[in-house]
Amino acid sequence: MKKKDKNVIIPEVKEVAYACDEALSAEDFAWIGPDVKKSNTIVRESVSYFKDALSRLVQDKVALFLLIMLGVILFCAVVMPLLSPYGFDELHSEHANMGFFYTAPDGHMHLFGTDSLGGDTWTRLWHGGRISLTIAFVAVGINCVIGIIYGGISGYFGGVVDNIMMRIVEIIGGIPYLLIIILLMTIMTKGIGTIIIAYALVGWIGMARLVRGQVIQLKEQEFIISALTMGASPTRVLFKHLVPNTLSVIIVNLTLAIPSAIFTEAYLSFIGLGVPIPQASWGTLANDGIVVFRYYPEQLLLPALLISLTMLGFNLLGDKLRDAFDPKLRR
Amino acid sequence: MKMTKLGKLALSFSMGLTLLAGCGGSGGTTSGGEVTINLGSEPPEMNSFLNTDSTSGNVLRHVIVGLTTLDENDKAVPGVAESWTKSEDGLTYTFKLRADAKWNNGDPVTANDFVFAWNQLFTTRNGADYASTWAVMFEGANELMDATLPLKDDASEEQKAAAKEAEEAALANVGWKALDETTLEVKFTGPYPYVESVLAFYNLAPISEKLYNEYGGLDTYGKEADKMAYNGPYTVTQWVHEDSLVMEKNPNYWDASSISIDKINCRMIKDTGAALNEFENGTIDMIGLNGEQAKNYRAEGKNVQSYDDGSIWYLEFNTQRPGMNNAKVRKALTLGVDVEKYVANVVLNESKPAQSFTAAAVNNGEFSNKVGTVWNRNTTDYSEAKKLLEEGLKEEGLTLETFKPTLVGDTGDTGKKTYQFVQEQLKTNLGVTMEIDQVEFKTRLQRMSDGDFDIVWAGWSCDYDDPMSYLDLWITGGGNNHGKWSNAEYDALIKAAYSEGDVEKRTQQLLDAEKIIGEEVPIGPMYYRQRDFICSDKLVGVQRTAFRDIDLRFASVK
Repeated sequence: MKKKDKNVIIPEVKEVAYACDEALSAEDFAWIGPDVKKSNTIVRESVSYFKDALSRLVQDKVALFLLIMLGVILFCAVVMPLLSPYGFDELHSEHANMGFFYTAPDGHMHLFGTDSLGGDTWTRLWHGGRISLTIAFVAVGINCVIGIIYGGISGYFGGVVDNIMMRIVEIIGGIPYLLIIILLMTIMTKGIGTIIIAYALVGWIGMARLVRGQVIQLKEQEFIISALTMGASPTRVLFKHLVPNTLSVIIVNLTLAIPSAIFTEAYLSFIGLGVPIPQASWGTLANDGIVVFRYYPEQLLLPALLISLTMLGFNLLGDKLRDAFDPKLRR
Repeated sequence: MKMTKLGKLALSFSMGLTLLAGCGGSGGTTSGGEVTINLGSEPPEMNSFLNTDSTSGNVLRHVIVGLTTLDENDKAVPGVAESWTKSEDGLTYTFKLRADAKWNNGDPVTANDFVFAWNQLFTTRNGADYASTWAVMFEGANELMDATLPLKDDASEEQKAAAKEAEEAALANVGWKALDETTLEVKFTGPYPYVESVLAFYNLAPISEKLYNEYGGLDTYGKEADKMAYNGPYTVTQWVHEDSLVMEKNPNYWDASSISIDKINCRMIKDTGAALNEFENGTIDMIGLNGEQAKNYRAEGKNVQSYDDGSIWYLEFNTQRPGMNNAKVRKALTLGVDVEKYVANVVLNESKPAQSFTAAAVNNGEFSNKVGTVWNRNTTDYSEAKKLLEEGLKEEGLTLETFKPTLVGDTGDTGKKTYQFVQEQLKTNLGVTMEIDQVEFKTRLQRMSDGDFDIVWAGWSCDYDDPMSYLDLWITGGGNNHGKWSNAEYDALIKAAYSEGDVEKRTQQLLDAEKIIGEEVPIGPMYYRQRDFICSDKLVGVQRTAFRDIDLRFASVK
């Protein structure tokens, strides 16, 4: 890591003849002013760590492409159901299972055709995207918050507290995830909320472990000691000093957790534990599609493609972010 | 009646029409008279008196025979009984059994085997779900059922002794008696016109007491291929649970020469797509088809066959719930669904919109013809239905905003499509917001028994060839009357019809009962189901009807 350039004033030593027996007086020194020329030749702008990482991220063509692709998917999921002339629960059962660009006798057109009940595939795809992405973001968000707080406390206080808290995490981690979800589904009404809660109930343990490890590593460093010396409260030390320093790791982990959440949602929907009808998510759409796969493969392929693209996008983006945040790669 | 029949239908429904069977020479080469069929799932209960489901029924049909059996036209013809006489009042039947009826080990089938089987059937603690259905008909059966309730664990010795005494007394008074080895006398509680048809049902098939005990009795009888006795055209020779079952021709069957196919291999493939692949590969020669598959095969010009499985599907309303307790609301919800559109676009086959509760499967459709159209569905203008709904809701102090029923249905794709369609129809046509709760099949049955539902999508099919098989469902206190609908007039009509000897009068009573259903709408009939299947060119003569879901007794390999 290069040293940051500072505008240091280096006085030029004048050629002054002085005798050894003569004491130096104020007159011997003169203010020569800043060297304008040098001060203007700064090698590199001072940038923050995150700005630096981001700039490196967008310079990577693959990463940029992924960002744009995910942006488009997000944009479509938000906007397309609003723009579509059809509701996601609107059925045209008289022309079900139609292919791309199907135009009904009365002139209305289905861009991506219709599904097995005559619902507009295009609208349902993006509506499904909304549901899937909402579940993914919210669930991961909740995981993140719980994980940071839990892991932070555990790591910071250490000792008995850490011991107990980590044993609890291990117990929760030991119960099969699917079992918890299925049990939850039987007592709760089906819906987005239940899926989010089910996922958030167990999904935070990975994040908690990660944050704990980081905090343990950081808490021995000088800046923490100095903060403590100045009388900062544990809360302040934890959330002002420790957590921000683990952010890069958290963000990378978040990015990688989103595709896993999307896939979990799709998987749950696929085995029939998903959102209730008439709602659709990518998972339920794929589930519906597989029934008629033999005859109308696009009904499975389209939602599957979107799931794949989104997962791939987030996974690769996570990798790129990790690279971008890597301090060793910093210029 | 118990809920199991419903269960059986629901099960088959929930599995997405997969309970159909296939048959044919395996691997495309016909080795003698060997065929492979797909049962679709493991037969859950092969003990004949405990049986309630059609999958086990499809096997039992081939391996055991009752007093009567159903022929190619679904008419009851002599089975183990060679002939029978009927007393003048039509209450007492005397059956003469064939001397050459044998169990697969060579023992003769005697009148005592029937007495034993029926005693077991009506012994409540054995847990035969259908017992109460048949108990109505048989003299002394209800009394036996009451006397054989399971004892509590903490029952004292005196209580046990008293129960035993009561049981023996009830057994002495039952209406079925073996007069000698080959003569069986049966007393019925009324002059039921469908006695012969009922006697063909597996629950009333004989069981050899000796073999039953030899094979371990209630706990193990019918659980394995070699833990069961067979007196039918076939015997089960191999049974790998959840995988396959092999039936081979029974040399001890008296009419073995009429059976063409030597060996029937049964597969248990649940997934319709997988079954279709096997069919196309030639490893299975007959499969059931779902709507989409049937449609595409028809389009390709393949010989898709269909049959009426006798089931009617309907919305069952919980009349204890606000809103649903009003006949106008129930009627409006029934009329608010465009069933023709449903059948044409979702079911995708020859299924018919229901015009009355009793399906055309019984009495060759004569009864349902007489009933005619009970519901006049107006599929272009729903203003009348909507008016009716609003009136009804107003009477109950509800509005469209506060009336938010939930439809309980099974998990599975076919169900899902149906519920989504109904939901959309009610929303578009009537403005009703209905939620869907898809639950596991068993959970649904439990919720129906507990009355924990607003509306259930349910089905019923006939057990015997008479409208009564449908109509006595809705009597007050009936085991399957989950919606708790109660109508004194209706009860009186059904009870009268039970014991009415005059055919004309009885028919009129049943017609009147059907009319009451039309007015009061305890359930909202939707459609009569047709199912599709396809056979390979090799296999001919497979019969599938409402009473015989899969019947290979008359089939042969070309």
